[in-house]
Amino acid sequence: MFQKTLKLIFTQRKPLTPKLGMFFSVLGIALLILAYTALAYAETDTIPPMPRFPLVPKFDRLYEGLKLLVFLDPQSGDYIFWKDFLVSGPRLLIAVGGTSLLCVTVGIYMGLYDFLRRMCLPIMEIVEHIPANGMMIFFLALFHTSNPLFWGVMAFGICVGITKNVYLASKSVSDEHVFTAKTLGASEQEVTWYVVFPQIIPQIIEAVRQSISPAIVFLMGTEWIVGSDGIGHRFMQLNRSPRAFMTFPYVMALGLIGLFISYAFRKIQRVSCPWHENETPPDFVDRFLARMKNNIQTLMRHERKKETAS
Amino acid sequence: MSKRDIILRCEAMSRHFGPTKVLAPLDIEIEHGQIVGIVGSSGCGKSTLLNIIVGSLPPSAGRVLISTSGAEREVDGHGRDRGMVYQKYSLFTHLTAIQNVAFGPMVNETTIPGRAVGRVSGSWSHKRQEHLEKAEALLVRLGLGDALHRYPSQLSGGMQQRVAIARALIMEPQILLLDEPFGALDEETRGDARQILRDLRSKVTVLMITHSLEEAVSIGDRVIGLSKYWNWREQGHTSFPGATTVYDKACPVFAHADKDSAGSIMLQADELRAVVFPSKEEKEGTKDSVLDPKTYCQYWQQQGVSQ
Repeated sequence: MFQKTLKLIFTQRKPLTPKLGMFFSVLGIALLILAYTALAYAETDTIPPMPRFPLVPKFDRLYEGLKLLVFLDPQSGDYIFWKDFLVSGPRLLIAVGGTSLLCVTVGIYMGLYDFLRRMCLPIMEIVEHIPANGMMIFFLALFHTSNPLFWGVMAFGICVGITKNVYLASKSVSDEHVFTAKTLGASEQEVTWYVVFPQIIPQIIEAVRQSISPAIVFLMGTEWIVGSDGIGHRFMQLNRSPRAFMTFPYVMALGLIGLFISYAFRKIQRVSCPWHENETPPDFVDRFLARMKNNIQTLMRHERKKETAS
Repeated sequence: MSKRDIILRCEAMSRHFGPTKVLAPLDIEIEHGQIVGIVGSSGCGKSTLLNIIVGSLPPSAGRVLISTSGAEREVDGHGRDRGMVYQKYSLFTHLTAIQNVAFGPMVNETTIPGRAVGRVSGSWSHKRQEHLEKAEALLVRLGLGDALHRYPSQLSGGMQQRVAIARALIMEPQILLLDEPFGALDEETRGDARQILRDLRSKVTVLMITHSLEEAVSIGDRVIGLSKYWNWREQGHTSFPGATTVYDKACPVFAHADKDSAGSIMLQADELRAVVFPSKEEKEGTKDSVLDPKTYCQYWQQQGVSQ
């Protein structure tokens, strides 16, 4: 039995059983927590001027930080994380939303019209190699430290990625589809918006989802350097006096929000593109929710049986 | 005797892609309501020929003329008078079977602004209902009544092909072009698809590319064979001008009284095989072909028409 399991684990491209798969998923997280705990308790070295703030704080200190940041700050009376999130979130939403609208349109047309592809590809090749934060000085001169500065840096950083992904998706729609639509009487615009666009919605959603992480990095960087509020600015303040016990919960809260955004995107993809369902297996959260639902239903059935029997 | 109702005419039509010559100047005339099988070895320009006729590719020289609306006119781009069914089905993946079939009437009878206005005024839903009912009737006729609301990924290869044919037929095209329509079908489904084609005889002109010579001979009224291996040097060309028509004859089903005779089908398929497919030496380039394209292009003589 043990040997069989070992063989299953170490055979390439062999899917594990659901239970074994779950075991390894939990094992990864457990190892991470274990490593953190070991580090936290082993650490004796602290930063000399602030001995109260170890680099790897223990869990009780983390909880303290969590209370201070994510929950209520007793000094200011604000929910610090949410206050920052309400500043940075809309910045991110506007930049990613606006850039996506423009880049998706350009990307689709690039995949359909050769002149646009030839015009845009060289520009994209150049822009791709310029770090977005390097353009900050340009946006700073244009917009000073107002919101368009943050939108501009983020848009500059993610525009090539989205456009390229959408262009490749648009290009991958077969000539046969385009020609067939035309033989059926579709105009150029109908081919674009009724044939090509709907078919690449899953790739568009994926492209936008993938652009969120770099957008966050550019936003944090800009807020860190020139911002007077927002998550990046908070990081700058926290790092001025390295308070890891406050930074870690903050980062974890960000990670959880990122996880939620990813899940929301996958959900949107599944709901808006039912034909794509066969190609994307249900993710961990969906499987977990389905299993919970099943368990509750089984429990309820069991209870009902008991009641009728009694 | 003069030629009958000609619906499609290729006049010295040729095509090359850069320096690669694909089709030598071709002269082909197709009668209305016929099923024409187009056969040939891989790379001989069968799909290119169909793409030129449907309007996806322009010819490099010569022209294609069609008489689908009374007067003869030159093909210039796509048109709803020519329907195309590709080898790889080409169903729109985001639409269900019924939506795929109703797509043609939607884009043909309405425009984007018209649909937007119609959505507000409510007239669009009525029109849409008409399209869907028409599509449903056609799909039911093709035996797909149970699969109306399934996406292409949920349909078998045969079902997808029938949906693709239905989508082309709903537009009532006068010329239907099929690029290896039975390529991925199993034997049973092939039988169904062949029957659909037979039902179209005399209503729609069908040009069908197929790799199966027996299929071309048994379904078609006429078979045209294209080949890259012919005596082009002897015909006065200094460089290879592209593939040409090396076979053009009526099929047993059409020409003989013994309809569907397996024997005559096999005989013609054997003749076709010998003419259209090159010998090993010709393929390897060690021997030039001596095949004169005119030898087996006898369709019009068979019909008693002087060229």
